[in-house]
Amino acid sequence: MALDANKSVLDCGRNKQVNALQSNQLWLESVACLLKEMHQDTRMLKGFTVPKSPFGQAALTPPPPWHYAGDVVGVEFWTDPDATAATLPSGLSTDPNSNGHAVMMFLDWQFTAQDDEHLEPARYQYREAFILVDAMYRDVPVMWCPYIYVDNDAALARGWTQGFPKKMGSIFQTRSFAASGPAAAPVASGGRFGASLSAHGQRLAEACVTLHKPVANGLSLLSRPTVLMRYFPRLAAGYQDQPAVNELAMSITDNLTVAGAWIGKGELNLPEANGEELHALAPKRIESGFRYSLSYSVSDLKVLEDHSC
Amino acid sequence: MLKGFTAPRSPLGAAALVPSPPWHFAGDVLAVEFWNDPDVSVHTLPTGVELDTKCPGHSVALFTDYQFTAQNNEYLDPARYQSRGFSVLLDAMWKGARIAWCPYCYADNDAALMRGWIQGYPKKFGAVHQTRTFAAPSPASAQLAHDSRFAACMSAHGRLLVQARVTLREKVDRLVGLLDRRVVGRRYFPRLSAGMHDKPAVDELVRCVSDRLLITNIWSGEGELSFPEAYGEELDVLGPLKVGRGYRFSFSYSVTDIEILANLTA
Repeated sequence: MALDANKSVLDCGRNKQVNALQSNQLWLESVACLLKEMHQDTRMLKGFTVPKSPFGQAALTPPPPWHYAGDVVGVEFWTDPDATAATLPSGLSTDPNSNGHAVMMFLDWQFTAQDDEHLEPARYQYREAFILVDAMYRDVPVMWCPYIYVDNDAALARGWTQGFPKKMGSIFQTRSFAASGPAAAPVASGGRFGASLSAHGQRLAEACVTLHKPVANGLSLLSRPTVLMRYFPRLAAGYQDQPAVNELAMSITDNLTVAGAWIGKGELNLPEANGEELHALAPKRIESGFRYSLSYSVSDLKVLEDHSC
Repeated sequence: MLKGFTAPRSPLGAAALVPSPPWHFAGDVLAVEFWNDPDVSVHTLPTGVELDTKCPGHSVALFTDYQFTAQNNEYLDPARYQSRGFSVLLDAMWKGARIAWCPYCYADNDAALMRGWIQGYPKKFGAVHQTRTFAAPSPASAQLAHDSRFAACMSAHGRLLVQARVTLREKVDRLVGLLDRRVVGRRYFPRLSAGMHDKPAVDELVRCVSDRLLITNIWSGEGELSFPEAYGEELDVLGPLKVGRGYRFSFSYSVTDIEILANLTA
């Protein structure tokens, strides 16, 4: 009974080699048969990322297109302009009109690629927290992502591929439920949503948003493209300061959709923590708080400048 | 100028996931020797790496519980710099040299994941546990002694991927025919630009360079091992047809370099 249930769940996923196989004993023999049919000369490991494997099922993340849907709780604020300027990589400059302007966002995400990954919530749901600061790429106003945290390894791998400098964290946000009650947190005027980020036992960020009014054009909250840095070091002695990959890149989001956007009051605290520099961007003045639902797809990335050695 | 050996590079260089080498490791290992089907495991090898025909399918499953430090007392930040890991090493050959290929590798810590990618270990997240030994004798201490038992397991995303058990029989001076090969991995970093998804920015076959490798307090005994089948993993394909010896030992080593064997992007 349990085995059958397990099999039916696997069948709706992407582990196609499992479909034909029911027990470990059969499994080994059948896989051996499948693999033995492959030509030795064309032996080829598959997978968009490591670990690359015979069937390409073991890779941390499936190949693009990647599709995302989630909820956002965020705070728009102003911090020390010298602190935001200090986070900018070579190729970006400060925005004279909004130097020190930043946004801290907490996201509760669901992901899918081409094989119903959203039906595997343990592996493909994740939570995220990041900070974006205003900057200029040449004469284009952009946002730069200096720090970002997620709670899932597939998200970590996709992030590194995109140029998001992801680390692991524990991220939470108040959720809204359809059944009303004191715990339901309705999306309505006066509704309050908390959020927090911690890592390795230290609290790194905490926020609270009080909703005041809906925003007619939710996309107005995401007006600038995000610029990132794809970075992968070398370990060979003598080359440890000459990264194999060091590219300034611009995120490309398809079908960007914002729904149910509300704006209101924001509160944000970035406590000091060992091994982190997020607190250097602590708010001097809060502009607003917001909450909305968000979806988009990723299948491309624009490399702006290649600084690789 | 942003600083840091890895992302996130930051004004002070304090936020990077991993500090610059030299890297130093010390820990405990539970290891189980096993044989998988060489006709299957050959398909986990990258171009240029061949099975070792003298010991086809011979592999070792390694559970590690270790502490890391670089140059700034990182070992005093146990939350960030202790890690538990699991890896499979498969006996193989590279241009006539005996090597161990690492097809799958798991760790429970983000710094370990990044160090792994940099070294060519294809690390993913896993929850890894192993029985520990304590100086105070007790039924819970798991002494290093004849007939003492140690177990380990690894799971990811709520699914059990590996279970192992070792029953100690005798203290030995060295590991015979186990972990006597340099580990070969694959440094791999994809591109996301459209049309380039199958043209990685980095694809290098690398051989790990370990300095001052010390293996001590070695106990040998009988091993048990299983790789249950799981969605999103191919570890079970390498499951044991036969299980050999089990070992429990302590280790330390340092890393300051890596040897690049081949550039596979060429």
